[in-house]
Amino acid sequence: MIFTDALSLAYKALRDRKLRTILTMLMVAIGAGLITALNSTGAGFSAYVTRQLGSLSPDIIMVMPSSSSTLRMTEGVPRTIQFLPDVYSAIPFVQRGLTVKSGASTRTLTIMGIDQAALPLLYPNVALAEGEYVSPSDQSGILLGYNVAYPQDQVTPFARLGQLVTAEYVDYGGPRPTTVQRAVRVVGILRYMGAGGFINVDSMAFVSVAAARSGLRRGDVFSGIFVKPRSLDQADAAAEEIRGVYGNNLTIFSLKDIVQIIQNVIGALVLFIGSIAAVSLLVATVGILATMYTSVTERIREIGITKSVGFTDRDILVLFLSEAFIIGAVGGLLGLLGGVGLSYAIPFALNSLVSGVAPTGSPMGGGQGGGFGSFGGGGGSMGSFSLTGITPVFEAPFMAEVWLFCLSLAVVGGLYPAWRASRLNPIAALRHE
Amino acid sequence: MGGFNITRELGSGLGPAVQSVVETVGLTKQYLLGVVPVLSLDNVSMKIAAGELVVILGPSGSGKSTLLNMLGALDKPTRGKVLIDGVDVSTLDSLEMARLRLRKIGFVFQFFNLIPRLTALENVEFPLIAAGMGRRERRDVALGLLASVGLQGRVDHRPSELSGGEQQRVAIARSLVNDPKIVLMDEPTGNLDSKTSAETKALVERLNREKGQTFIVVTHNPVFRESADHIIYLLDGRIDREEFRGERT
Repeated sequence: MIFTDALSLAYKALRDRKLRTILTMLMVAIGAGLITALNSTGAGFSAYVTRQLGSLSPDIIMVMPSSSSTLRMTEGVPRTIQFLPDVYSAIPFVQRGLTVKSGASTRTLTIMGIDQAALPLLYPNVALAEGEYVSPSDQSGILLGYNVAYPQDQVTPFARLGQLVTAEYVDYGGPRPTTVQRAVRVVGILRYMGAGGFINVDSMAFVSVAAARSGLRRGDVFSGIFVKPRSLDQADAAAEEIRGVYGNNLTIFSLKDIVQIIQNVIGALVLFIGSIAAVSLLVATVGILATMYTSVTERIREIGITKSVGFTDRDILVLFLSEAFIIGAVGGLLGLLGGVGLSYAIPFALNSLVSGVAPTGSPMGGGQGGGFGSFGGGGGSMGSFSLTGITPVFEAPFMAEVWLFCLSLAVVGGLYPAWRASRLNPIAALRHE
Repeated sequence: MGGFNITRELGSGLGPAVQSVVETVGLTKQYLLGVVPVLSLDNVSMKIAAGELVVILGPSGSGKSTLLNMLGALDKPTRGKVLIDGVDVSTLDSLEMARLRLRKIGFVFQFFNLIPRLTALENVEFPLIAAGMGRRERRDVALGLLASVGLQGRVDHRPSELSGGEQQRVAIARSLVNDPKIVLMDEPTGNLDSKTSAETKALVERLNREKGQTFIVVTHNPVFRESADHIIYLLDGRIDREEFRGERT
């Protein structure tokens, strides 16, 4: 018997029991689809997280006063940290969320007072599109992120180089809340960095530390410190040294740790859903076994005929295995296709899940800098957290493996029924009603 | 799967002087009915010459079906020998038996035993798939046989779309598709009306004459008796008597 003839006969036999065949194929497809969707979404999410952090140097540690502490983060703190053995540089900053007015238009964003000579340490790819950085002594210059100057949703620029804009915020520090306004001049615009996320340079604005201190009424207190370790490998040691000096007075965020945590969460999720998918494939194997076994018992007489005209036991085995093979092959293929579709749907489903829980639209960066969440470019950066930005990543070798796995499961499931069929006594089979 | 090598493998063990295509020597088959041994065939010895139209007659339980299963290499004897074209079936394993069936034997059953989802053409082609024959060649052989049994206009019909007589003609075409030495028929007219039975008998007679193949028919139908060359009467697992009608060959 030629294998293509076996496949053709198997196809005709499956077509004869269309519904049952399709249902069994669906069992395989569900498992294969889940695994495909899971893998591509997981890979897509990893890529997304990497992209989000892409602009910020991965070794950066952020240090903030912890909310329970009475520590005043003045000039002494960065100076102390600067001299720790594994620290290359401590870069203090002042920041708050505020509103910037340019002509008739207004934008809410995070403004950061920082020594701009240190920006390349934080953002290795940072570069100017126009103008220059704000010098440490400049009290009225402002450097805009690309999306602030050229909003993506507008045709006309928000502000041009050299233009005066008004920064405005409400100061709750005094006896009564007062609105503070300051005019600043745009001295530079950053190149588009293209990576949003945690500290979205594109939607921020920068001033000198001196301007921030006076203009934002912060006195000599910093919002936090960026710590650059001597190398990525020394990041943990540097964090440990800071903790050794300040204990619980400071909250320390290591970007490396954050990435690690996110990867761990994704990993756990993939493992969890992956095991469900694996179980569903196991169930599919049992499903194929049941379907094929039923098929064999229904066709005992036919098996007798097949044997009587000269097919060998092995031929019968091959014929029934071919049926299982087709179920696995087509079911696996359907699963891959369905998995691809599912991969594109999952980020939207996750996003509606997340946005239903997370607080939205709150102005950020009030008070003493808040926590980690105060980073980002005001309202604008919330949007860039959207999980719809996740693009699934499809790995052809993995998909091929899934398909081959479906094939082998099908053959395993078909083996026992096919073997039973091949061993039937032809006389008894022919007499079977 | 090399089915065509069977001639060389199993050979023709008979010299040219011996004419018999089927021979049994002391053929005995014993079954266990529960724990009780039942002797279905008891020391049956016979010779069937090539090209004969043989009719086996006998009441139910006389061992007709058992004999047919032995002659068709579907089963092995408890004792004795069954020689098909010189090959002793009792020495073969199940693979060799399957190849012997493929190469030398054709079956026609009372209930036609066609595969319901296959068309008439596909049913006739079916044994040739086991032989590994190519699609086109297979089709030509099957179409030729369907034409010779008068079904050239019905080749794409499924068994359910054919009358009983037509189904039996498809089955006969299938039994001949491997150009077998012997064709075994188990009550071929058992499910047909008298007119169709007569037609089927005439067809068998014609094919036997034209192709020179040996036909062994187990039947109750007296119409076959008239055209038989050789009649074997079975009773209680033994040959009761044999008749030869030499004048036909």
